[in-house]
Amino acid sequence: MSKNIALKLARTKKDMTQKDLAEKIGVSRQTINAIEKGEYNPTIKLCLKICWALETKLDELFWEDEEDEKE
Amino acid sequence: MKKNKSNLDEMQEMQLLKIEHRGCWLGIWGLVIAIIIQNALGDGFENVIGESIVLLVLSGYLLFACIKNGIWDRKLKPNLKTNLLVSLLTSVASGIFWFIVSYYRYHILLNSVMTFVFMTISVFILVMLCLSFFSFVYKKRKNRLDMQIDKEESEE
Repeated sequence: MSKNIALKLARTKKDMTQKDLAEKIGVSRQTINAIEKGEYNPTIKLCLKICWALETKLDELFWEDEEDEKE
Repeated sequence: MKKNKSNLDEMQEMQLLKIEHRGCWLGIWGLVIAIIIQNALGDGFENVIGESIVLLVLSGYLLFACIKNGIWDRKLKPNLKTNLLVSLLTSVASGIFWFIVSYYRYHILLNSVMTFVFMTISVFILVMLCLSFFSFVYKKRKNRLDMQIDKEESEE
C-alpha cells in the first residue's frame, strides 16, 4: 500500500494535526499515522468518519488507480 | 521475493482472526479453570506446573505485545481508580476461593477466615503493584510512540 498523500494534504488544509483528527473521530494517533503512511488499511466506516471530519469525499482521499494498488 | 498468497479473502481473514481470538481466550480461561480446580482438589503445585508455565508465557506474550503497540484494554483505563477496583475484585475473589478451599479441607472456621484475610491482602498488594507498574510502563511507551509520530510529522 502506498502513502496516503491526499489524506495528509486534506488534513493540513484544514489546519489539523494528526492528533486533532484522531481526537475528532475518536481513534488513536497511531491509527491516523499508520493510514497516512499506508501501513494500515482502514475499514469503510473509518474512511467515512475521516471524510466527514475533513469535509471531503471518499474518492478524494481513498481512491487509487488499479495500477497504483498493484505496486 | 514472492509472497505466499493467502487462500482467504478479506472477510474470511477477519473471520479467522475472530476464531483465533476466541480460541486464545478459551485457552487462557481453560487453563485458569484447570489450575483452580486442581488447586481446589488439593493437588500439589507440581501437578499444575505445566499449566502455570503455559499460562504465564501466554499472558506475558499478550502483555508485552499490547504494551509494545501502545494498547492497554478495550474498556478499562490505566488509572489509579481502575487499578484499585480491579485489585479489590480479584483479591476478594481469590480470598473467597481460598476460604472455601481451607474450610473444605480443615473445617476450622477461624483458620479459614484468617486464610481469607491473608490471601485477600496479599493478592491485593500483588495485583496493585503489578497493575501500577505495567500501567506506568504502558504510559511511558504510549508517550514514546506519540513522540515518534511528532518527530515524523515535524520532519515532513
